[in-house]
Amino acid sequence: MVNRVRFAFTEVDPSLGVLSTLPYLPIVLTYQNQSLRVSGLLDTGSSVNVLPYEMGLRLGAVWERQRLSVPLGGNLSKFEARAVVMTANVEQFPPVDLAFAWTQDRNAPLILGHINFFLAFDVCFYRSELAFEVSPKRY
Amino acid sequence: MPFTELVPLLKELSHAEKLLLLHFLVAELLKESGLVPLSDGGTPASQGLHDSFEAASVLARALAEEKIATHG
Repeated sequence: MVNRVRFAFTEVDPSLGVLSTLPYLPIVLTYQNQSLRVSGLLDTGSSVNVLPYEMGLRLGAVWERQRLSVPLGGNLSKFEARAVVMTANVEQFPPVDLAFAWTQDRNAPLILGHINFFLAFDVCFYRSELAFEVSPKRY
Repeated sequence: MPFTELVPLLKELSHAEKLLLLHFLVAELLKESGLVPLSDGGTPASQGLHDSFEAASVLARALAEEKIATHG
């Protein structure tokens, strides 16, 4: 089995070209048998994973049923967030549980941060090559 | 405006306005000194997602609960 996959950075603004490239990872999130193929921003500057409100709804999550409140900092501190655990599939790697701060901010991006994306996967950035590599954590 | 002229104006402020002024001055001094204000708990206030450690601990708890619910 391939244990490391290389991805290209994604250009966000064509008018800015390489200046606007970010490491978005294609990922399939599953919640209670409902799946969604999305792209998450790999953010080593974030303590937590963040799930945008609409994305949670599309996955069938029910806000009122999430009982753990998550105190986020920064711009997201203005919005309530609750913990929700989803199954994530990256490429052909074994599925992992990812816990998200499900924010009511409808403009938030899907963020993959330290808890717990970077505990489940090792990532190596090659920014000068506009690429990054992802592999499952080594047990 | 000289400070001596400012004092009589300040005395005309209400109690609440004086408190707000005090808060404003403290915030200005902290900003000028490059210091981070403390939250009520005595710890530095969170600046962003990069130090949302309490949030991280809640997510870790959610993961642990999910593991128990799934695997017992």
